[in-house]
Amino acid sequence: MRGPVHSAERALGKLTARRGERVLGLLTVVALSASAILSLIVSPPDADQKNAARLLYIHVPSAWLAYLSFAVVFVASVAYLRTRKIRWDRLAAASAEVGVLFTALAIALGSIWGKPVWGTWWTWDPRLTTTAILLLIYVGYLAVRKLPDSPARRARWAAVVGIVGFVDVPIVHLSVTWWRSLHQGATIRLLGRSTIAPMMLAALLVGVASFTLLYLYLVTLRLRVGRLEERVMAEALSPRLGQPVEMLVEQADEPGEVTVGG
Amino acid sequence: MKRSRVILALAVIGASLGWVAAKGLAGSLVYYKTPTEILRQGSSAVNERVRLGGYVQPGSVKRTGTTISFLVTDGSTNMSVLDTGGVPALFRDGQGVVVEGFYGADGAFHADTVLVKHNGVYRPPAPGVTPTSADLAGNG
Repeated sequence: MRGPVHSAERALGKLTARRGERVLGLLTVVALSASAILSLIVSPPDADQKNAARLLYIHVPSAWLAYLSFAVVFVASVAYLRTRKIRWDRLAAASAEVGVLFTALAIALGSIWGKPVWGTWWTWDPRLTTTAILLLIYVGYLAVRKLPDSPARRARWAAVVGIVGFVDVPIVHLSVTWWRSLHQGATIRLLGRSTIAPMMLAALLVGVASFTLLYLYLVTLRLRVGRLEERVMAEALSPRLGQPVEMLVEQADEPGEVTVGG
Repeated sequence: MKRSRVILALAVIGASLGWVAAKGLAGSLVYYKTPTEILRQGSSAVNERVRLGGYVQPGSVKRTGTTISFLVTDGSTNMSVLDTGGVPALFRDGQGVVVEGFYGADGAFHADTVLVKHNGVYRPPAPGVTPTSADLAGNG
């Protein structure tokens, strides 16, 4: 049934996927290096904060990746509930893991920055509090994903958490506008004047761009690991269920099939 | 066995969420009070632990021993602050600050923590000025 053309297509698909992954990885390394040079050498220190202000170039990109990751989780969760295709669930899971990583990083970097500039590692201001809640929501999301259940049911629950949890993202972003806070408001404004020197703005934008590439690379890697995990699971189940591995992997894309774990 | 472990993890996360929401948002929605608000509150404000926010009135900072005194202003009302906990390096005239402590019966705000609110402006130092990281070592 599966002719040589089909096999060739599959092989080519795999090859290009891996090549795309490598090119993306290379781009990410180049962009992050450029960002490091701009942040640490080219960009001047801040008049008030001196070298501590350089944390801007990694703190803001980390926070941006948190927003981006959870927006992708939201979109992928909606797409999963509409199509019931497991690949959307896989994307949501990959993006949530990367999002949790960068939310934690944004908090840690902010804390390191807060000590010399604000005078404290932590304070219960609205931006910090809502961000701590954001981290807990998505750690919870990842925990829900570990519940032993049928893949379809687990994916459904995860999608619901992924959609509802996203409500905190705009709250985090607007917290500094809505409520009194210690955390500063927006420095870059789309309308009106930004309060940052052009060279520093350039370093910040390159930082945001390079972190975005890093996000794409990490999600790509995580998706591949996710597919491999499913493959391993299918191979383990194949003799017990008496079904060929290929069929089990394909079934994983259909709703309500293959019960795993329990 | 595995299920109970995950449910335990979820319970811990849920409890943490509740704790953060209670601890954080209770005080966060009004993260600090202005001098005007504390004075308007009258005697009920005395000895209640709060955060006071405003700007350091230029020319008001005096240091005597380990105590730093200054005026915090919101533009219309000034409040005298006596701080014994030290101040961050960026503390200076005109700076936005959030001060933690209590408003005393003596009419002064007794603070143990002074936090500096950065205004979100980033600019290089003036020509000829070489900044050193020692400037940010802090004295608090």
